[in-house]
Amino acid sequence: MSGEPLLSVRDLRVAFRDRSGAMAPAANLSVDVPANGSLAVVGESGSGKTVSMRALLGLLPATAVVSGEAHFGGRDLIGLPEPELRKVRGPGIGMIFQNAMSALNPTRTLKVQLTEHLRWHGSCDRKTAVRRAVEALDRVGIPEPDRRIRMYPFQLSGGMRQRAMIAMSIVAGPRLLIADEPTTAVDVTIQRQVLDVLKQLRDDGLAIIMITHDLGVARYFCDDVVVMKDGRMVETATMKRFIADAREPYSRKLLDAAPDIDLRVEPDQSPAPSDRNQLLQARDLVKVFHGRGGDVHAVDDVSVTVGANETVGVVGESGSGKSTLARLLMRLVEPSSGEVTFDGHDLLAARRSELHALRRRVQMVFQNPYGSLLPHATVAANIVEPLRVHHVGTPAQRRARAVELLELVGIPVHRADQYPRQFSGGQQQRIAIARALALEPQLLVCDEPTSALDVSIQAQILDLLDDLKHRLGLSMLFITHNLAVAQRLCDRVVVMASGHIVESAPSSQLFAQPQHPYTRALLAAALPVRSDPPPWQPATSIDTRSGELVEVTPQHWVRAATPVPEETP
Amino acid sequence: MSELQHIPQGELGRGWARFKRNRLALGSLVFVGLLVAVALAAPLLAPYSYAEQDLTGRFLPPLSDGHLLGTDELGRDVFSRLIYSLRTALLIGFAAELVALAVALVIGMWAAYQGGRVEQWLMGFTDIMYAFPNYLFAVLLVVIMGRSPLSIIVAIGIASWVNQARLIRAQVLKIKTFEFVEALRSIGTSGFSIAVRHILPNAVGPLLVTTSFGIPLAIIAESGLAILGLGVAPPTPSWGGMIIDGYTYVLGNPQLIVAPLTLFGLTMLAFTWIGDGLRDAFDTGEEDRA
Repeated sequence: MSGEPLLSVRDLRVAFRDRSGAMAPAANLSVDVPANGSLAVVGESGSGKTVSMRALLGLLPATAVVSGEAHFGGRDLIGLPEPELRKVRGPGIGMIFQNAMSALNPTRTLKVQLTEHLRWHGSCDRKTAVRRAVEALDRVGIPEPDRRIRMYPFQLSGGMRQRAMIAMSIVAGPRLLIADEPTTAVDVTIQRQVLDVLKQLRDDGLAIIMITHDLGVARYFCDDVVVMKDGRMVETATMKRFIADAREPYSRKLLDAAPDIDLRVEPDQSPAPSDRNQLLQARDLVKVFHGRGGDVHAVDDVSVTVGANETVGVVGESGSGKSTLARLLMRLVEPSSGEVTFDGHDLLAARRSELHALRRRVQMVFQNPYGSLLPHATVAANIVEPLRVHHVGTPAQRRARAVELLELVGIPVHRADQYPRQFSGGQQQRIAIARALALEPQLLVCDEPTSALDVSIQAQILDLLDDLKHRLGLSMLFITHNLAVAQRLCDRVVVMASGHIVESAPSSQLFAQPQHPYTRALLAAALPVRSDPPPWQPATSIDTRSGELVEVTPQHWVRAATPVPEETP
Repeated sequence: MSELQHIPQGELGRGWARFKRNRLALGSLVFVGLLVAVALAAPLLAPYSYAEQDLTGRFLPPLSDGHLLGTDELGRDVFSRLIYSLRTALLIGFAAELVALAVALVIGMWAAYQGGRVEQWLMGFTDIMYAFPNYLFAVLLVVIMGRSPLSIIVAIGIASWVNQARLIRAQVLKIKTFEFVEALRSIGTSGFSIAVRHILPNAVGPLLVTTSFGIPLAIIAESGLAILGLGVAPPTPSWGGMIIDGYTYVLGNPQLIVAPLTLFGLTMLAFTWIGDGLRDAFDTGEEDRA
């Protein structure tokens, strides 16, 4: 850190004025970013990290009141008139957004979107603009950039799209990039690719501010870190010192809550008893969605079992079919073929009344707690709903049970008559869990129950589920994209890719001795907080479809990629 | 959180809290409330009977001899007729809209929730009805059923449910995709219960808005029928009837149509403002979810 910092923010304050004119402070920040530096702005949702960065570029709504100083290129950005600011955005500071699909205009080609601001700024003519756009696409590692530049965003894969957006932010040649959760919406393997593209840009001399809630990403990418909480700066440090020796209790809490995969576990000497009473059994499940673009095999020939008191994790990236699998098991979606039995009852052949009875015994927790709670009903009414539907008890008894459940999941009982929207995300998920437990089910199917939540809340919810599992003797099917979460909670893990099961093994074994190349790639792409990331090479396409599941060691099944591709007749 | 607790958090409560802040809408609501009160108390307020003729005192000017708004071509007191005409207008407006809403609810919700073949048939039927000019259809029904208030209510109601059915279907289709519907299915809640107990309350805002726009449309429809000579049978006064009767004498006695037209216009305006207020009050709630 020598000489003048590239960006120097001093006592930046952002507040929002509400209808009555009262001010709600949202952020207060002072940081320096050296040229070619990399700063991570870390914090949970609502901590003010995005707001403060947007304030720098004047991208906040009119209700925001911004004060303080932010020196960039010899000028104070705060209070700069809009036309001047526009000259800074793009050529000075570029911005990358979380969701490429919505940050790119779906109706225009990349060419138009990459060149239009060059033309606006009048920095070059049409031809040069196109050339620079192609160069930018090339720099972010998009193959055949001169052909792809004529494509629309929807024609690109998720990872490509994210790169195209990065290209858009660097095309005007900025010296600083602000990346707002650039990898939160993408899968782990793509995350690693995107981060490596950004790393290359740094090697070329760009400075980057990375807004993230993921300490693993921050550690992998950044030299310095700022921790924010409730709009205040909690701690600034170099990344090394922060990981080794965070000073503030809040920082330590964040670090502790970050789930890491432990690859060093010894394989369990005594494998879990295989003679468990099988509660849920699915055999050869297939689900084909008939769409306009042809048939999609969302779930293809999948068999899983969940034993009594067992927690089975289903892990996979987006599009692997894991959520569809959960819905097939719940019979929320009718399978194309295959069978599902629950405790000996055929779930798919069950008539309405039998299915109704079986639903009591299998309940589900969804990804988005606010979406899955009834918005028009109070918390108590939400929890009472399953009891009402299944005619359990009198209204007074149901109410008493709801109160009991709220206590169980740690929601203050005096708030029973408030509405779901009055609770935080973590509390909403607790309420959703309480609702799922109301009927004392034997099996809980959880579909990414923590992925919409902040890390520290995620840790709490996982603790809660773990505790409930032991106290109530629950069996669980746990769908997640996060290997570390699966490792924490699950006895057995099933890895899915493109609708197939790729590997299935007891947790201890899967993480210590992953067999399938896809599982290994997934494990290698994860970015741990406490240790250095494992070596990783950009994945060549891995065959996850062909071959048969083979039991390599007891209970450890791997899809064996057939060595010789046989011609199918 | 503490100050939040004073704000009612039910769907209707929150809408009402926002509605109240809109002075124009609130004023309009008070005005309509007043009209309803006047209509109910008509026998007490009207100085004369609406049918009482006085052929010696025809075309009396306003403010003459106990006739606040003068008399008409048959010597009937215009003020009294105006008060009674409110009864006709509001009764037909509210009741016809209620009929339309009931039909629309059944068809729209059934179609959207059931889907498949049922939806195709129901919406196909709705489209056929949509192709009919509603006035023509109402005229046809009144010709068949006669000119009693009940048959006019039914005729207007049946002629005007189509748009609302489409709106309700669209709402239900949208709400059906919300995750809580899937959550309810996983609990084991029956389809009917999901539709009526859970989806409907979430559509209450848009429903209130169309209802408040539907009522003045029904009043206009009744007036239209009256102008064609198919409104409520005389001597029962209605706005359309008064206007078309007065129109004959408009050059000499403009007050005969000015009074009903003014009341007619104010009422339309009030309902429209209420509708606007409701739309503003409930639409924001939609944005929250997205």
